[in-house]
Amino acid sequence: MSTLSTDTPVPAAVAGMSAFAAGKPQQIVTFKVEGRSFGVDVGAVREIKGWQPTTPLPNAAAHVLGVINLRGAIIAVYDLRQRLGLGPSPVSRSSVVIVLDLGERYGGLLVDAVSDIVDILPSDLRPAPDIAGDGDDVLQALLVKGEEVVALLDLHAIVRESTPAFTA
Amino acid sequence: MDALAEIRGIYFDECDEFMGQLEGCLAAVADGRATSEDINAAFRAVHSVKGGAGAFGLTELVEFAHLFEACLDALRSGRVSVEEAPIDTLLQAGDVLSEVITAARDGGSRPPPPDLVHALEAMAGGNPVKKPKPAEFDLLDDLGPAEPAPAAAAESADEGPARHKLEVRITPDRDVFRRAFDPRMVFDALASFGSMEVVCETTKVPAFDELDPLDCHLVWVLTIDTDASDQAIVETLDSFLADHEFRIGRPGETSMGDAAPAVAEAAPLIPLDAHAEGEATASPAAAPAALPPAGAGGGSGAAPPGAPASGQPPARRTGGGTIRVDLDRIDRLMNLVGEIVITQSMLTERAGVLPKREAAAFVDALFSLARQTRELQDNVMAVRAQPVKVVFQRLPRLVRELERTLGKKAHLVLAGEDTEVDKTIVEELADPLIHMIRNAMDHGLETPEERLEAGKHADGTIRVSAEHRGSRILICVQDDGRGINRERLMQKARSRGLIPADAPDPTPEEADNLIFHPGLSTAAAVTDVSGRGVGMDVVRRNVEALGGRITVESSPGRGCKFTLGLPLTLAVLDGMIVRAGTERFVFPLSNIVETMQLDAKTVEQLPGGRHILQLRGEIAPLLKLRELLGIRAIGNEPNVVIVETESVPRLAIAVDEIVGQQQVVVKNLESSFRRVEGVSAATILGDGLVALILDVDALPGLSQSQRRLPSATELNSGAA
Repeated sequence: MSTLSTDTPVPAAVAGMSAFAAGKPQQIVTFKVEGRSFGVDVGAVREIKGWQPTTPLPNAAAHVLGVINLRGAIIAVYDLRQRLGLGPSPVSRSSVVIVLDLGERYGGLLVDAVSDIVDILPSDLRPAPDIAGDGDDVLQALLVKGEEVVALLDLHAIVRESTPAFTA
Repeated sequence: MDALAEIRGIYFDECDEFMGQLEGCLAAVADGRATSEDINAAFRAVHSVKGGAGAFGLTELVEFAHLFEACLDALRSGRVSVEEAPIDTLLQAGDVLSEVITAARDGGSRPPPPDLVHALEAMAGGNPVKKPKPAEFDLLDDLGPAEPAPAAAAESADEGPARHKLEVRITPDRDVFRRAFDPRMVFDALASFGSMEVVCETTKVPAFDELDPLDCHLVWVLTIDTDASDQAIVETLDSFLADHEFRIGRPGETSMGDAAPAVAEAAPLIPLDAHAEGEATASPAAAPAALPPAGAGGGSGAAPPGAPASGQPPARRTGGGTIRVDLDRIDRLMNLVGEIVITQSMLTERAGVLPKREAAAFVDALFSLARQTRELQDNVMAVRAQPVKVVFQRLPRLVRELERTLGKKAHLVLAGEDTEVDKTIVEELADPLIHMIRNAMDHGLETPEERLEAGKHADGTIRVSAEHRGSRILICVQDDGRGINRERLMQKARSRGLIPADAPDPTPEEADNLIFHPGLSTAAAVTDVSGRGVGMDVVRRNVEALGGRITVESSPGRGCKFTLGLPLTLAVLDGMIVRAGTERFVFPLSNIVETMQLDAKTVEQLPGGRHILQLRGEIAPLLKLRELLGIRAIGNEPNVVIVETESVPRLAIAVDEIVGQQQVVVKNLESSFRRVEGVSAATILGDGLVALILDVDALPGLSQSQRRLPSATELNSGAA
């Protein structure tokens, strides 16, 4: 089932939303951070690569790990754990960077491990609970699949540097 | 309609080129050094503008270009001698043509001034030129039965307008489809001349297994019943096809081996495509031999032997030709070359660990690879290169406009227009140049009366030249005016406190360079043109932002010379790689004054925590790169890089290590992340890791903001 074209020109998060709204079945990539499950629309994922050292950027927000060389292009890498307010990620052998299409540019997301690609239906989705907490602004929706709850991420919120949590 | 809009865009791009050529040729005419080739080139440029304008139904442009063309034709044919030509009228016509083009591009209208039209008509032959025929080919029109062309073009007035049958034989080059040629466009265009019958000859099509579908083996024979002149039809064909690709004549004539005499008269001697300068030297007699076989079609082409010595053989696509390439593609190529350079340095590092026996051969291969990569890089850079002519050719018009507004006369001399430099630099060159020319005209040159009094020629001279010097391009703007008024400049500088009252008098050079200081202008009066004191400092800022330098030399009463040194490209940069903590950074070499080891005895701490470095009697603020950029590391920073910045003439920056000098490929950081204070771009070093290129001018400011955010960025997650 190939429902999403992989070179969609619209920003991925928006594309995801419209697909949800249209009631079409969809695929998401799920991954783990600190034991919790998260997911992004498969159409936004360009590639998944192992960790490589980043070049830190001066005066960037704490969740901006720096930039890496992706075959000649320079992309910024973000630490999802740090962004969720869980402290800096320990980088290990299984750490991976998910390269995401953020619309006008690419960005990398450092996560603990990639789990799966799952098919979902819009009816599986629940709105994100409205309780204030660190990193809650990055949640787009919750996916309840049997026992498991997967948090779908708003990619543009993840890469945003000035969030309420950081300016406070 | 998008495709049409695109073609329209290309047409207007080409118009810019044509206008540039025209500008250059007219300047030559004005200087009295015009050769027949210049006049021909001017004619061709205007003709090309007209041809395209016809295709897009830009009537106003067609009419004016036609009139202008008629004048140039008079000049070309010798009916009006170059010496007697009304230069001002021609120059003005060039300016107006450019305005009409601009208006047409924006969808507006700009009727040419009537007196100019009269002057041109007078020049074109005493009596008003006949209106050009209606648009040769109107893309916007439907293909309906077009009106027959009512009047013949002026240059073919001898051709009778009587209705007759005409045969056109089209034998396109084999690669014609690859040139995005569509024969239907020709048929549509010709259909507007009258009823037409098209026969396609397929005798030249090879056997099926030898057939390349992209090659054109077809020949078309068109019979048109028209009252239009041969010339008009030739002109239409000329917009689509090379001269050797078509032939016209009476029915049955065109398939013959020799070009019919009647055709010879009508055959255009001037190809539409005026780029073929390199071929202009070939003699007309040699032209038939140069025809590519595909176009010969059993004959010697349409060029009659003994054609008037226009010096333009009709065969032009023999020597490669040109194509337009999207800049993005070249950038991608450039990126790839950068990648190869990185892979290559990875290999070089690997070579060290090989056993000696194998290493020798390996290193040899690496050397060749290095040389080839460098050549590859140079060649890709050459693709991006453009001659500075693109910018220079705008200057004559600027000078003429300034002459009018300022009431001064100036003679503009251009040299080295063919000097090539990267497209990015060419684009950035225009503003500083225009600024400097304005300055020279307004402040540099005296009024004609003053000049005569000073024993100079009443007309000033401004010389603009370009040349390569090493890996840089030098652009000089020199005038023979009054030079910089040092006393006034000093006086102003003193009154504004720029020079302390007790300071010793600066040297003449230092005084002259005050002209680059923001807020200083020596013009007594602020004019429309310049004098608000925002001139030369802006020029300097722009030039330095490109990694360039600008200097001035002035001799009072004799004139002044600005020299602009710019890198040949913005895509690569000569950098010095330094280390701070575990990170490496690149300083643009153009900012670096010197590097040295830090001697603790020369460092002093000021109250408030700032450090200064004593540098041969002068004082430079000392900043630590690790602190500036929030890098944690222990130990002293034993080396120091002295850089020159906009606000601080000598700034010392302490670093852990000076790694070396290297050319680096500049990668924009804004498009992959955002603008980062203190960093101008990024690059990829030999080990594949990213290094940041420092924006030296922003470093002093960074040191102040850093004071408010003292801790390292990695650990202050919102706590600060």
